Amino acid sequence: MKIAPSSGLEGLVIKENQIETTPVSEIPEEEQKFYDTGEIIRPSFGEQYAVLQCEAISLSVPVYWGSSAELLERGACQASSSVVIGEKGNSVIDANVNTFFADLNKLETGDSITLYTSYGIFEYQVSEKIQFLNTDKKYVLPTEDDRLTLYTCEAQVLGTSDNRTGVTCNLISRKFYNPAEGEAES
Amino acid sequence: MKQKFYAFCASVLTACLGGMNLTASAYTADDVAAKARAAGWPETLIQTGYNQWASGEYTQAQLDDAYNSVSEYNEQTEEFIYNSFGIDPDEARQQVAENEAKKNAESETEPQTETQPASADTAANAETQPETKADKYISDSEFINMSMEQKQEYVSSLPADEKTEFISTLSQEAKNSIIKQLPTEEKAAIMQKYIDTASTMGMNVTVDSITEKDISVTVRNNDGIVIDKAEVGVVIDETGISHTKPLVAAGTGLLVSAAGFGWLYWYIKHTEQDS
Repeated sequence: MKIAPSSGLEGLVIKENQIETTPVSEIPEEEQKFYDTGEIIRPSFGEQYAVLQCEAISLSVPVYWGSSAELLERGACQASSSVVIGEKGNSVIDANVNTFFADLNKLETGDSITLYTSYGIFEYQVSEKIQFLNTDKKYVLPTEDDRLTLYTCEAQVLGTSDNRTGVTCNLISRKFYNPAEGEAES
Repeated sequence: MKQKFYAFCASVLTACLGGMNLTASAYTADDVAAKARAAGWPETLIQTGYNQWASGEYTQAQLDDAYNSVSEYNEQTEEFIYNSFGIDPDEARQQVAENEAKKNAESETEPQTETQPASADTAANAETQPETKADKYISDSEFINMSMEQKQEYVSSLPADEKTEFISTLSQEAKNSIIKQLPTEEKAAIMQKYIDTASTMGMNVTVDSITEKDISVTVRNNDGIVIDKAEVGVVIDETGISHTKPLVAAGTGLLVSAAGFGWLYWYIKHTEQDS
């Protein structure tokens, strides 16, 4: 784990973690010990706590907890007002359209997205392509169902757009490395 | 209305400056967390509060202060919200309490359904089930996306006895949407109370920028480490070149203390006039 004070926002400590990103299908069967519920390790602001991968658009990007200009230069950022990956509700992640999420608009319904964390692997499937104004909070609000919302600015040749584009994804599977109390292996 | 508003703010400010151990109680960290969650405080801040409290550096008096401060924050925002819709806050609280008592009494006297055989009455009963909130009112999501005028128009259109029920059962996000659309003076008062309350939980809030659409704040713990950044406004985080024009340059955060309410109010008004 690397820790470095930010040169921008005063007091921002950026932590980078080594996170295992071996797909479940490539893990030997005898080593596949996962649980449906487990302990979530809550990240601190500025900590890279996940890796987001999507084969459909050849995407692999670190995910930081919290959002700031410095963090957006390093990877995708998760809104600290949304739920931590693995918790019940809506996890909201955004990234720069000029860099990490340049191909986000190429995602199609049914594409798979995987989030790797230090405490488990979470698989999602794109359910809807979305577009909304920067003042419309409909897609970033808490939800009852478990979902992942990815968005970025709409690409424009000049200046920036008031539009946001992205996808919402349904949770397909949760695989925790360590069980919650009393939980059996899945 | 304005006189009442300023008198209220003066009393809150006095409480902030004079120390806030208004009631001698023995609240726990769990009590404070539960109160903060009920007020819609983000889990990030609550967890940070827990970490600070768990470090053993907090006295009982500080925990009590935190609890009272969060309670006052709840009451203050609630008062502003009710007043925005022409509802007397005290009457509203009484009505909510009465409704809760009635609901509790009804649930206690409900017959045990597991031992009753299905009967032809069941279908008839199903038709007379009380309306749910979704049946009676628009969704929170629709309400959130309305302008303040549209919100007020909608609430005015409700029967008198349903106005309070609608407002009191709004989700925290819907209530936040009202707060963001409040007049400048009230927004500044709530912001100040938020800052003071965070401070009782061991956090320092700085206002990084103020624009027409939002206020950007950074929250740091007592060691100066950033624990959260929040946009208190209506614009969703941008991902690209910033096109807002912050009236205060980022990095020159303004630390607004308990004595800073007047300053913050003046600053917001002054910069709105300049823009």
